[in-house]
Amino acid sequence: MGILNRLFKGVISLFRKKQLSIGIYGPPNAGKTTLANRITRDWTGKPMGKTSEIPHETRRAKERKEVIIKAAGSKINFNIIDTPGIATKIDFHNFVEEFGMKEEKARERAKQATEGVIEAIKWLDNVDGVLLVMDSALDPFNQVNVTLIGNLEARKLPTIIVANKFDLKEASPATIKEAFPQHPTIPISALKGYGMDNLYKAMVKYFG
Amino acid sequence: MEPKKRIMKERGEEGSGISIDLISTERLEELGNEKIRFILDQVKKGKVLVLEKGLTAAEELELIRVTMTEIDLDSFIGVETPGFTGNISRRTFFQRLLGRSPPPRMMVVGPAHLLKTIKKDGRTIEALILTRDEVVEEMAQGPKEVTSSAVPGPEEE
Repeated sequence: MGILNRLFKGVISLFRKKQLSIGIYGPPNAGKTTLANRITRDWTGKPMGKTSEIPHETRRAKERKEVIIKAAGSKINFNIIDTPGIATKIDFHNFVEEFGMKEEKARERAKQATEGVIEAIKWLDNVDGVLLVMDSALDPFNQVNVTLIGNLEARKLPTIIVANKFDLKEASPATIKEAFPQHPTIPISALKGYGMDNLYKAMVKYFG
Repeated sequence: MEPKKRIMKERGEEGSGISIDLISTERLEELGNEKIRFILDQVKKGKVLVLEKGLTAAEELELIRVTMTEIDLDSFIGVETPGFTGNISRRTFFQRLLGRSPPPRMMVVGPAHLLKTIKKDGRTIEALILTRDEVVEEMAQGPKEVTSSAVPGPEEE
């Protein structure tokens, strides 16, 4: 049985892509880049991008190749793509009024953010799986989450929902699980590193 | 300044009402490939659309993509799209067999400076439509709820 099992896995591996492209998706400020940094720091020693409390900090997709994750007795070579947050509206005045940004800079940020959303949508054609990051402290039924889930299902892309910031007092990963029971949901804190082992096991299991 | 006040001022909309158009399934089907263009054109005119049969997930994503290409920062900041999406976990036997998603459900689409989703769960959506008539009043008193709608979800039909 063991030999047959190894033989089967060996045959499968011949047809498997050498590297799996995994897109990190979600609305702005869900913690996508914090998660990307956590994953790449853990497995390559280097972070991917700058994080900020101001929405739309990531305005261009970033790609890190050769992220080899070892978990649950398996090893998989991932290509991690950190995508800009997807939004249905972008108002530069928010950057000025809520974060004290200069108007010219805020306008430039908003303009780049619209381009970032388009780029993130384009990347959906080039990924093999998705880590959909949601803020556990917020309503999971926001339109971006629902639209993304619908598209990922229509494209039959393997999806893991990452219930980020689960350490916050007001967090409720259970609400996310109830909202989208058809997908595995892994509660983590990308910032503090809690729950990452479970996420790596899930990535190997569902994407591998 | 509140986004709606600012944008309405830019667009010269102060003092006028908001048009709410109910769009039938037949009308949407007639539009075919022009559906997204039609919706966006109406929303950019400041209208709120109630779609009898909402958009598919792919159409919603296309609406977001096209919206992003047309945001002009001063007079159009995007769209708000509260609605019910068919839940894939509740597909019928034949939908599962054919690998199809459930059909889209009712949806509201409006300009983001006028329409705001307050609360949404799988069964109920509460949205706020900010009327133009209240601009001056709100500037003095702060935000005020004008319209609140609770729409029955799939389980309640």
